[in-house]
Amino acid sequence: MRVSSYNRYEAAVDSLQRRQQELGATQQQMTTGKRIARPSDDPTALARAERAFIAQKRIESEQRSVDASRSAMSLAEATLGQVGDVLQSARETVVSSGNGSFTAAERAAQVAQLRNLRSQLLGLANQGDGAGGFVFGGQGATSAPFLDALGGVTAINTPGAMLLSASERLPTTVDGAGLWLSVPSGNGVFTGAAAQSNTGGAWLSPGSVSDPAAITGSTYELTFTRNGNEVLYSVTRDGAPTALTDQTYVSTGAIGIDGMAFNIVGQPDDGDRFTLSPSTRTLDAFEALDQVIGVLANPNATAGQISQTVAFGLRDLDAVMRQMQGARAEAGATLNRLDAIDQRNQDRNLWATTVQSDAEDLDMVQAISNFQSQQAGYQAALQTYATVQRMSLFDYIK
Amino acid sequence: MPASALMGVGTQALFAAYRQVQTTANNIANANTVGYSRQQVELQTSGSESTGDGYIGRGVNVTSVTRATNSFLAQQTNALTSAAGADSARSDMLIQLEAVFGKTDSGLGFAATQIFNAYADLAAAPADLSARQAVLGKLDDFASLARATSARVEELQAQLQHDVQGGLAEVNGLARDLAKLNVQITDAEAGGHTPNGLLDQRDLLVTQIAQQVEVHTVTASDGSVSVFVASGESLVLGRNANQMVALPSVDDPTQLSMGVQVHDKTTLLSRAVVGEGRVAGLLQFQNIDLNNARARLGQLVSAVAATLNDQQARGLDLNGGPGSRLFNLPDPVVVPAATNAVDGAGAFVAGMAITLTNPAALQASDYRVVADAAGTFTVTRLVDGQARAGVALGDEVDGFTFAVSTGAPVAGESFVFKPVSTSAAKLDVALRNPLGLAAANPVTASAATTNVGTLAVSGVVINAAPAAPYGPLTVRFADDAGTYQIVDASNAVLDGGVYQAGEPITFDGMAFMLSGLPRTGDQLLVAPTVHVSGSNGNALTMQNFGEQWLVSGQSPAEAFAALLSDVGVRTQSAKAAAGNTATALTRATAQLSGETGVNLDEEAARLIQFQQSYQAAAKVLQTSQTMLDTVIGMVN
Repeated sequence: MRVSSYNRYEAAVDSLQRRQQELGATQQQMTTGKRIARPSDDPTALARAERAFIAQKRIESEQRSVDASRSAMSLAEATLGQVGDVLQSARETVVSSGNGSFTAAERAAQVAQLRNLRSQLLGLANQGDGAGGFVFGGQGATSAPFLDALGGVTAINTPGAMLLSASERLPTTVDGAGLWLSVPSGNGVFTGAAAQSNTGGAWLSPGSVSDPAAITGSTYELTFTRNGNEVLYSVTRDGAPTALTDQTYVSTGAIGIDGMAFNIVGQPDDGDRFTLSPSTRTLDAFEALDQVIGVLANPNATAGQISQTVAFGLRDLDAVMRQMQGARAEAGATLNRLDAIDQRNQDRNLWATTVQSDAEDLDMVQAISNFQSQQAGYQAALQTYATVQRMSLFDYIK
Repeated sequence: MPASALMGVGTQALFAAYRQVQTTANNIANANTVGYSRQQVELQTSGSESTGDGYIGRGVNVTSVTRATNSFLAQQTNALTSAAGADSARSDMLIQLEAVFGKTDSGLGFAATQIFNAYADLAAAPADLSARQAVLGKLDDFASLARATSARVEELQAQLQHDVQGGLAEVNGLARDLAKLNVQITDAEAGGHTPNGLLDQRDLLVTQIAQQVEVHTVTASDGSVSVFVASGESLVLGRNANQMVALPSVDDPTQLSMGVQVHDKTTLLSRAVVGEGRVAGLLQFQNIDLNNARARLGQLVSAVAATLNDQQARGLDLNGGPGSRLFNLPDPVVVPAATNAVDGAGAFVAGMAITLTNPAALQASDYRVVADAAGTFTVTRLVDGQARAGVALGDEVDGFTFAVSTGAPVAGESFVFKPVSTSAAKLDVALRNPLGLAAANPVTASAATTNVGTLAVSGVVINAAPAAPYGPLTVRFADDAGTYQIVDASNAVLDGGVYQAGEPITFDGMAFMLSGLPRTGDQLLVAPTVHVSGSNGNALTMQNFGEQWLVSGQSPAEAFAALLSDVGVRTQSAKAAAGNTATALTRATAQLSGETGVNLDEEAARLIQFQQSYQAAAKVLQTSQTMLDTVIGMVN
């Protein structure tokens, strides 16, 4: 085939330019460190890199939520620790108030101590989180979540806990109403009470569970009858007579029915009644103290009343402490979980960074090798062009 | 035989050799002239003289000077020039288009994700004004990036219109020149010799026209060439040149199309017969790639903005009222076809309007809507040609409904619906007051404190506006298996069902996400939110949009990655096509110029050859002179 001289030069110049472009592209890749400068370089890899980049941003945001939750839960954990200390002091004070040799004046000092502890507790319950929120704010509180009203402390916040993520449960508050005002009453399974009309000096112990499987959940009533010097008692279950009918009463002797065991101490009068009902989540940490304070502050309180109050007060404070310890343990467990989520976020972030890098970053070794081979190609093209353009028949016509 | 005859032969040979050297010199001179075809002198023997000794040659005659040509290769080259023009124009535009959509932290996917992330921070501190301000800032970033991206897309449209008009103006100029050349060539050929230079010029004009629009040529017997565009309309007919014009498309006047104007009648080239050439490549880019990019951008913007607006309206702002809209999302555009009926003032009689009803179902496409005789419509999705017949007013199509606005269309009238593709251009943030962000849920759910089971609320999502104003509700679990009833404040049973772990309990647009297990008698209490500043429910819902399928089965970030990859794939294949046709064109050009071009070495060889011929002819003259002298000397 004939070759047109003009076309030959054009083609040579074209190919030189193309090689220069290739060199330029490789050089750009090496200076940016990216394999993909524009979407058309590798559309699929670019989309992968883009998704991985967004994933990193989402993980960063999630991590900020985790951090917010962690700082809230650390504060909650510390606050609950202080709550435990205050309750412990209160318990010690109540125990010492039970001292039968105390005079009314001595009891008044204990009452003052208890009142002080109660206000400390209320302060802790209304602990702020430093950012306008409240540790025990639940699902929202515009002001301090607990209000010391006339009839006792009421929660003015919404129950539940504020969460930062539906999937991971990242709490930023503790359910205050549930924690402070809904403690399981009694010993956690059943609760005993003495009838208001009782005249005798007997009092009921908090009792214990001897056989969890036998617990029925019914309400029991224990009624005393005095037959001369003999004191008898009968127990009804939901109003129906049980096997314990007209039993002989022995002070401090344990009474057991349907998996429950309790003692009645002291001398009951004829017609005195005690009831045992299933535990409900109605106990209020402040009310527990208020009741103790109310009886102890009464200078005319009988020894039986004081014993009963101290026993029930200790029972209730123990229940509150159990609840607080449980909440503190839960906050600790949440912190552990947050650490795990933190670790997982770091791992996921590393993964997403790796995916993005794999997709769009340049393999420098390969790029350098490409560049060198392109350079060699360009040199060869220049050399052949220079050689070929020298060859012309006109050079030989003399 | 007389010596003068010998001298005649010598003179003819000398003259022929001179013409040959002259032509070679011209070839050498034009070696670098674009469009020049190598010429050569055609020689013929001058016949012979019959003598008693036989036929004696009379010498050589120059019959003509011809140019090397190959009409098949020339046509192939012109066709490939058109194809390469179209492919490279489309590829060049796509390279500009792909640069419009930034990636990673300058992309729209990132801007949308930043909104959802800012809502995560707002959820952690729902009353914090700086967190609220940050959300507003991210909304503004998204809107301004959407506007800027759209503006750059529209710049490409403007540039393209400019290029199309320029290209067609060039074609018109070339066509006029070609018609003039036709006249000159016809006149010249009547003289018997081919006007090589004029023919070269005309071939070059055809190639230059072919670069802009695909043309076919027919050569008439008088030597004139007529030029026809891809649809068969004539651009040049012998001595007459017609005009090519750029006009708004009939279906969609916002789009450009090209046509041929013969006298007063203009014929538009439909999309199917637009052919090849640079102008056609630009129109293809406009009709397919640019429209697609615009629609995908609009789909992402409309879906995100409309979803956020809807969700904002379902929550409560810091003042306790329902949220007012976050974005001003421009109304979708309806373009009536140019052929629709107009009234006396020139305004279209029939008008339609679009309402977005389900942002997540919006598709990245425009639609052609044609009224039929039954009062219903045929809706064709332009991106894939999928048609739905018998669509009534108010029926939902791909997330939108349409209604008659100014007048009902009569059968046959058509419209182009653009539900999404114009939304990015004028997206704006409507909310300027940070207190107006609806971070709070209108209702709060909590497990009753008296519950025995472990049921806990993980979240409440409001998916729709309530049928009636929110009031207190109680979900009561009747057994350990999770059978529940929903009752209102007056204990009237509203709904019921069986709770499945992991599945939300839904009622009246509310979805309650629960964890743990309910026990018999447990209750879930739902009440209107009291502490608006402390509720973060709606912010959490907004935050979760980051992973949700807001854009037709994709998250916003995924949709943007898909947009990038779509433009990238188009550009990649356009680049490859441009490279392939360019290579084919190079090969065809090399082949054609091999036939018609000048090779300087060949010309050097010819120069020596013809120089020697000239020298030999001169020698003949000298010899005949010598012979004559010999004879004359004898006489003396």
